[in-house]
Amino acid sequence: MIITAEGIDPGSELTGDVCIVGAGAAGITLAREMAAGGAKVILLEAGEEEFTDESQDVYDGESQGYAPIYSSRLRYFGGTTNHWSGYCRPYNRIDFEARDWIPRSGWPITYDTLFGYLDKARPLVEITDRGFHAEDWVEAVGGELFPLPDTFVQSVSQLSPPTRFAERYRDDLETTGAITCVLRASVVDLEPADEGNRRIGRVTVQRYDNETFTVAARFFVLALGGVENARLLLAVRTVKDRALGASPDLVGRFFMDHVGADVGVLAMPMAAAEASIYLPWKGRQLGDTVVVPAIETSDDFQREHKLTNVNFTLIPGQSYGIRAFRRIAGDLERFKWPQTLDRDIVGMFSNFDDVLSHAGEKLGMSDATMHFYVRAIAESTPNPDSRVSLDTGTDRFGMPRARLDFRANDIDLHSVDVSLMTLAQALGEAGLGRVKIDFEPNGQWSDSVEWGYHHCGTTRMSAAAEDGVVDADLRMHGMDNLYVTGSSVFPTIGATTPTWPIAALSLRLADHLRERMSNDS
Amino acid sequence: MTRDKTPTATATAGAALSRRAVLAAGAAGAVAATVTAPAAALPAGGSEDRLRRLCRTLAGGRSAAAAVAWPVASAEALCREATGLDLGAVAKLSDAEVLAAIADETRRAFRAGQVARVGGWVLARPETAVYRLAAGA
Repeated sequence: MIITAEGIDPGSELTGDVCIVGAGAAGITLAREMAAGGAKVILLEAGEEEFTDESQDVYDGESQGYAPIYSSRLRYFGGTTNHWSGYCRPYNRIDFEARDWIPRSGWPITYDTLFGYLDKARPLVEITDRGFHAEDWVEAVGGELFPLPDTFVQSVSQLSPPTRFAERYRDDLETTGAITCVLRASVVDLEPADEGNRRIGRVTVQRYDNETFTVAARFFVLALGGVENARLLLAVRTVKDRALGASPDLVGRFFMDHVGADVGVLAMPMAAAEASIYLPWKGRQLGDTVVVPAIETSDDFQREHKLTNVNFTLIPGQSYGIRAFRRIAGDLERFKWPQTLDRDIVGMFSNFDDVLSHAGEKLGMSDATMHFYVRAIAESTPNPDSRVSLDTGTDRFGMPRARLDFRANDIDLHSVDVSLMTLAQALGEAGLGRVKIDFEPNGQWSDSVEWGYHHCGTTRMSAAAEDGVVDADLRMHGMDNLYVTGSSVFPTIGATTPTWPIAALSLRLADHLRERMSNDS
Repeated sequence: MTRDKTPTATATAGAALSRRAVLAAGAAGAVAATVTAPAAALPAGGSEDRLRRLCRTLAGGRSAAAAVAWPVASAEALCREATGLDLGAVAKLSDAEVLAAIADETRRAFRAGQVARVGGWVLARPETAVYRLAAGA
C-alpha cells in the first residue's frame, strides 16, 4: 500500500523485515524484489507523489565546480528517474579492472557478476535482450558502420521508454501486501541497537509538520541517491555525533559524474553520412526499441595509452555560424533588413569555416557536406577531494544541507584530448571526413563541460574498509545490518549511464538479503 | 585500363617502394612505359582545372579543402606534396593514379600521426600544405 507520513501516528513505530530509505530506481527495485521473496518491506520516500517546491527545496545546497545541486536530481516519488533520458548500455570489462594508471580503480565484484544482474534488470528498464555492439543492429535497423580501426568500438545504447519507476511500478507498490510505501517521510536519524554502533535498530522519520515516528527492521538500506546517501550519514555523524561504519572519513568522498562537451565538428560527405548508422542521431528504431550509436575507445587502447573511458556521439547539426548565415540570407531574400544582424555577423565570423562550406554548397562549388557535432562523454575518476560535505545551512527538517565540490583529475581531461585526436585521425584515415577541434589539447574542452547528473562514488564499494564505505555485498564496512545501494556505491563509473546498473545492483542486494534472512530463520 | 605499375628498376632492387616513390620514379622517366596518359588527353581547361576537379573528388573521402569549401586553387600544391610531382609530371598520369596517390599519402599520414591542426581542422600533412597555402599562411 501507499500512504503518507501524516497517516502515521506521531511516536508510533512501524516494523518490517527491511526498511528501504528512498523510492527511486534503487529503492523501488529492491522493494519489489524483497516483497516477491516474502519479506515485509517498509519503503520510505521523502518526497510526494509529484514534484513540489517544498520538497525540492530540501535538495538545495552549495555547489563548487559543478552543476547546481538543486536541479541535478529530483526529490519525489520515483526520484531522479523522473527526468531520466533513458540511455542504457552496459559497462565495459575494463571498467571493473584495477587500472594501475587510475588510483583506486577496480570493483570488488566482477563484470560477469554484474552483467548477470544487468540481464535480469532488462525488463525493469524495459529494454530488449539484444546486444550493444552496433554490428548486432545494423542489419535490423539499417545503416552502415564506419570503417574504423580496432582502436574504436562502435556500440549502441538502447533507449528505455524511459521507465519512470514510480509511475511504472506504482500499482505493484500499491497492491503488494508486503510493501508499505510511505510518502512525505524524511529520515533524520539512524539509531543503533547496540553500544558499538554496529547494528541499526530503527530510523527516525520526520513528517512535514515536524512530528516524528520510527521504523524498526532487521535490515536497513539507504537508497537515497549519490548525494543524499552520503549526506544522511554525514548528518547523523555531525548532528547526532554518531559515526557509523568502519570508514566514516571516506563517506562523501570520491564524488564522480560523467563529464561531457561538444568537443569538435566532423565534416563528411552527405551521402556517406546518410548511409551510416549515425543518421538520424535520435536513433534508429526496431519495433518499439530505439538505439543510438556511439563510438567508444577500446579497452586495449585505454590500456596502451593509460586513459580513462571516453565515448563519442555524433549529433547532426548546423553550427551557430551557419544558422546566423541562414537567418541573414533568409531575411534578405524576403527583402527584410536582418533583425539580428549585429549578433549574426559575430556568429558567422566565429564559425567562418562552416559558413564558407555552407555557402560553397549553395553555390554548387562543393559537394553537400554533413556536419556532426562530436560530443564526448567521459569517465571522471576517483578523487578524495571531490566530495559531498555538509554546508552550514539547514533544511526544513533541521538537517545540514549538502555541499558539493567537484574536482577533476588531470587524467580525466587528458583522456578526452587524446581520444578525440585519435578519433580525428581515424576518421581521416578512413576517408570519412575531417574533424575540427576548437580547443587547445590541454583540457581546455572542460571550460564548456556539461554534466551527466549521475552522482556516483560517495559511499564507494571496496574489498577493504580503508578503500571504501561498503563491501561487495553493499553492507557498510563495520556494520551488521546497514546497507547502501544506488550509484553512490560505484567505485568507478565508466562512460555509460547508471540507472540500469543501479537496478541490477539492487537485484543483487535482494539476493543477498534474502539469503541472510533465510540463514537467520 | 589495366597497367603494369611495376617499374623494372625497383623490381630488380627488390625494394618495396611507396606509390609516391613509384610515381616519382615514373615521372623521372625510369618507367615511362607504365605512364600512358598523355597530356593531350586532358580535359579542356588544362591541368590546373583537372587537379581542382580531382581534388574535389578525392577517392575515399574528401580533402579538408573540399570539406570546408576552401578554394582549391592550390590543388597543385596538394598534388606536389602527395605525389612528389610537379604539374607537368602529374599531367602524364591518369586520374586514378593521381587520386590514388593523394589518397594513399593522406591515409598514410593520418595513420602515422603526421597531422596538424590548421584553423582547428585535424589534417594530414599533404592537406596541411594546401590549406596553409590557400589560407595565405
